[in-house]
Amino acid sequence: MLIPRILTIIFGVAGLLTMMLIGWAAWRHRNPPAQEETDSNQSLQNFGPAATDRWLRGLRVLFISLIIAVFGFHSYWVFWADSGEEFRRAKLLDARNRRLSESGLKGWVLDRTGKFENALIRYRSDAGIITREYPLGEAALHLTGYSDYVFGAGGMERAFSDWLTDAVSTYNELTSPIPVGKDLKVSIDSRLQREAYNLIQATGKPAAAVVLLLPGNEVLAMASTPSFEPRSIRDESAWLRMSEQAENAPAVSPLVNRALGTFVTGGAAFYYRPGSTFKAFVAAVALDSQITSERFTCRADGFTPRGSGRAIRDFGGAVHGTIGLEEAVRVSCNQYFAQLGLKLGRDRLEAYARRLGFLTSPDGKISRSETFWHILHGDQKEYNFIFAPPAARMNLSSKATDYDIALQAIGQGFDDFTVMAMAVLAATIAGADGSYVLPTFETGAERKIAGPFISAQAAAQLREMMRAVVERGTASSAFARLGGQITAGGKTGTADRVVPVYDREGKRVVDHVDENGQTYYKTQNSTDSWFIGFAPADEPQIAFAVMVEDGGEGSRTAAPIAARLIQKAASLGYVISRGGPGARGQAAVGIR
Amino acid sequence: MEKTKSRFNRTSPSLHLMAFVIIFGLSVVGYVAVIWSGNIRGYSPSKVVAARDLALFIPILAVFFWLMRRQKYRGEIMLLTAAVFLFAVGSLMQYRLFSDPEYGARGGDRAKARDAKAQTIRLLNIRTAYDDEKKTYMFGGPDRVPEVPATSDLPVYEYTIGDILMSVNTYIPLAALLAFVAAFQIFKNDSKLLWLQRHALVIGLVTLLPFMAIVLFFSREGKFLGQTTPWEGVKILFLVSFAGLLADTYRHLRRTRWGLPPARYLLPFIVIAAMPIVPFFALSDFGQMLVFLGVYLMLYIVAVRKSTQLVYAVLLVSIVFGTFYTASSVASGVGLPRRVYFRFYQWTHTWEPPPPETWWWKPDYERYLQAKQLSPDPSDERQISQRNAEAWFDKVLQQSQGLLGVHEGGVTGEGLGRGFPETVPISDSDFIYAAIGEEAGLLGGLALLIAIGVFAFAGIAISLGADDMFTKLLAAGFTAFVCFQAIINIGGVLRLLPMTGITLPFVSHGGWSLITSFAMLGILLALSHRNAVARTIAENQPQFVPVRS
Repeated sequence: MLIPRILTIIFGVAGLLTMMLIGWAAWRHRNPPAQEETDSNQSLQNFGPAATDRWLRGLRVLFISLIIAVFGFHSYWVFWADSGEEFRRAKLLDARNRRLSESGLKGWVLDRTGKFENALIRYRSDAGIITREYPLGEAALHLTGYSDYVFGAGGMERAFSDWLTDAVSTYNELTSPIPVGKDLKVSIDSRLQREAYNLIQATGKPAAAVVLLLPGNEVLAMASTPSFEPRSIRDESAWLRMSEQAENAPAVSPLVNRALGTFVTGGAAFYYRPGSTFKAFVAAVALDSQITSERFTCRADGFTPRGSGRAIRDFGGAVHGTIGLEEAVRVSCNQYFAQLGLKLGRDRLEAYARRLGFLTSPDGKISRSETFWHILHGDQKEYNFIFAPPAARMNLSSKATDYDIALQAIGQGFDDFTVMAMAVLAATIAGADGSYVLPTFETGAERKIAGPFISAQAAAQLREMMRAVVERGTASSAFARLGGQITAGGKTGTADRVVPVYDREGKRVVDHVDENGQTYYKTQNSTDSWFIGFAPADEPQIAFAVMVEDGGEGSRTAAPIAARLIQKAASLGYVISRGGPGARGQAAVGIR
Repeated sequence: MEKTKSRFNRTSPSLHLMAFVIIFGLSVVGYVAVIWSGNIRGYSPSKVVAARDLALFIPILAVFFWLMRRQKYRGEIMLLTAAVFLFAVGSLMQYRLFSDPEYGARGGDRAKARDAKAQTIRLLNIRTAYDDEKKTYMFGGPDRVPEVPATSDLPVYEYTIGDILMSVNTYIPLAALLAFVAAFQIFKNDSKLLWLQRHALVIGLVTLLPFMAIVLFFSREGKFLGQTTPWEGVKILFLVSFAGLLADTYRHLRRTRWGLPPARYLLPFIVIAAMPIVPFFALSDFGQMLVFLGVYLMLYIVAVRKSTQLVYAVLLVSIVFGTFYTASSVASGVGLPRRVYFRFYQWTHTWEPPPPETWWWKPDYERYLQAKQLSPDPSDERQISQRNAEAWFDKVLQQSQGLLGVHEGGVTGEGLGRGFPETVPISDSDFIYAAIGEEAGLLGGLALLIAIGVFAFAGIAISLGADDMFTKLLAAGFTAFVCFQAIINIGGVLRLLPMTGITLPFVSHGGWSLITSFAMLGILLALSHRNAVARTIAENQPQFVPVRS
């Protein structure tokens, strides 16, 4: 609001000038005119009232120094207080926050259709009372985040807060006490997002699903369960319980965005094992290195890498015999890929892992991938605080044994990945040129290529193999529902993780305490169900990754969800098979 | 030899008249800003009240002309200008605060006012910045955006002419100007001054007894009937009494051994110096105690002018401060009032709650739980620390909000009426500097500080120009009173010093405080006038001119 502000500056400056004028006069007249020495008697001089004058001047110096100190403190609070941690924390509790948040109008967040009814965040008026609304509610919580004057903001509300509070026009900035923020259009399709959430939520387990739109790797949907209604954080005690749980038992916390492995409040949470879906990576490396003619044998007693006593077996003790790469992808043969991984070797795997930004010799702590996203709007730092996933990592250092490498080649062992990273892997394979494109929430932005991963030819070969998985392999039954209308390619995964057991209050269950007082907690095996892939198979337009914690085999839980996601995406016009009916609308009708 | 000094060595009245006009103009600008921002923030500040405030310049100018024309005032006018500036800024800030329905209101009304303000800003923004498509989506049509909610029915302090005629805010400044005139009339008179000096001890005692009686029998939580503090005026009487006694005995107090004056003179003197401290202690008004002690100490040092005693005084002050400072960081301590502990702890640890079982904090913590009807589970440490932090932040709300406001204000301020000083409790009186810092920024604050500096300079200059010890001490004392009180107030707001809860002279909202401040101003001007007259007489003595034949 310009005018009162200008008036105030006039007021302040003119007041200051007037006082400086008077102050100058006060300085000129600081001493009364010297009187003639009426009394030259020294002793009287020492004793008389005039002798106090020096001390009175001292008093004046004292006052002026105090006033300067006061001014110094005022300057401190204006300029430097912000650097204090305590002060910044106190700022979160500032009563002004509530007034600002209740009277401001931040920008709306629209989905890629740009329609208000599909908006992710908008304002609603109930009989003149205006409230900020999250129409998708818990279905998009991990995307939209939340906003509260006490607990701050998370998700997009925080990542894009700069943009959403930036004045919509100069005129508005000049006339309004709190300017209206700019709207933002993101790449999400809220209908697909809702569908993705409903699908994974129906499993009743913690799960995540990501759909990317090629070729720009724009995020169409990113859902995570469990979730909660963004407005419910107004309930202070519920929120406190939730934050406490997020701190002590992140594995069961709804604050974790399982698609990214981050907290919706900001910060890294945890990783998943990608399981057999990771074989797509190893196969891609083999194809790009043209090591495609290898045949390995899959025996009943498993494959035992050199220098290791333990054998790698196949799921359910399956025996695939001596097979080639194509067949191994189709049946998801562990022993084949373990041997292939060793054949490809540590160095080659490392080189290709680096191309996709995976860490290959990680230290203990989780580091975040600050360059993961293609960011146009929003403050880079805030954005990464919210959305940068923990950097995907393997252990290909010299400390890793052959057994470790063999395990990692089948997506177990030291493989630490996020659902989003696997979706990006699928998108990279699905892309026409096999290059690694940064995912983004921006819509219509130019695709940002981070670098080459594999050759276009290798990518096409791999796509054919993954298509076989869907048509004749592990995922064929799940994809039968598509009825051949839409082709797709993919890879199932079934990953074993050891996870702590939590009681109802979110505390870890104690198994036993040994004689040294060391506490052992109960753990259990979690078999995560995975599916990554793309559709349509010949010229992919979307790529996706689905993960359901403790969902059993990938073909049983994750793959059917992926199939339904493809159906929904097709009905929305994102997947158009070249072989099928040409126009978008007809394609949508076609699969119904 | 040629005389270089002028006969009337003072700044010219026309300079100050011009300053008054500028200050008046500034005020008009300020009131326009407040009304303007009020209207877009969901309340309409009363123009009648603004006119009333601006009309107060008429009696101020009347007093100015009365001084110049009727009294043939020859002293220094700077003090008056500085005080008028402070007063104008203070009235403006009070107008801004009291016009805000959220500020005066309590309980439900407060929340209602807050919501109404928030909705108004939103609706105005929607009207002007949302396109038709959005308006249609939200309200069903571009022209169906609801009307801005009416806030004029929310209670504010004063609004209409009727309110003004009934309001003490109209009469207190007039009373203050009358007190100024009366004080001037009394203190310009030599015989009255002489009488005051002669009866210094009696004045002190006569002031103390009824004051003590009122304090003991009629005061509630540091306030007289109906939230007033009529004893503000005793500051003048006590200071006159102290200055009179000091002027009588300072020669004896100078004769020191080991830096200490003879007990025969010192002990009675200490008794007299302690006179005002006792009732203010009983009122737990530590701010006033601090001001009295500080001013008395300053006057004593200035009058006695012994370096050893200055060292002793500095040591004494550091020991007292150091004791409180260290005591405030330890959890336990005895013999000191809880409130002192609290204030010191708040000063050093504003945003760190003390443990809930701390002896001086526990009762407040429990009172908070009771008021909010909370009963945290005693075994759940997390919950307890959460509640404790809440209770603490509620308790230090004023300081915390004030500082955050000053920070928000930045250099040029949020703009008058644009900030949120309504979130700072009692920001019209104790924390008015925080409100100024938030809305007028560092610039406004600096103008205010310079005005206080002018007051200090010109006041001490009057003291320097005085011929006798009594008026010297009076002038220095009243100047110190105003300036020291101002510094303690602002220092408390800015965490330079512990918060004490005294007012900012001339600026804060407060009846007796304003009247007393103007009376002190009158005394200072009277003393200045007296000096100038005495000097003129001395300069105009007939001189023998040798006649050359």
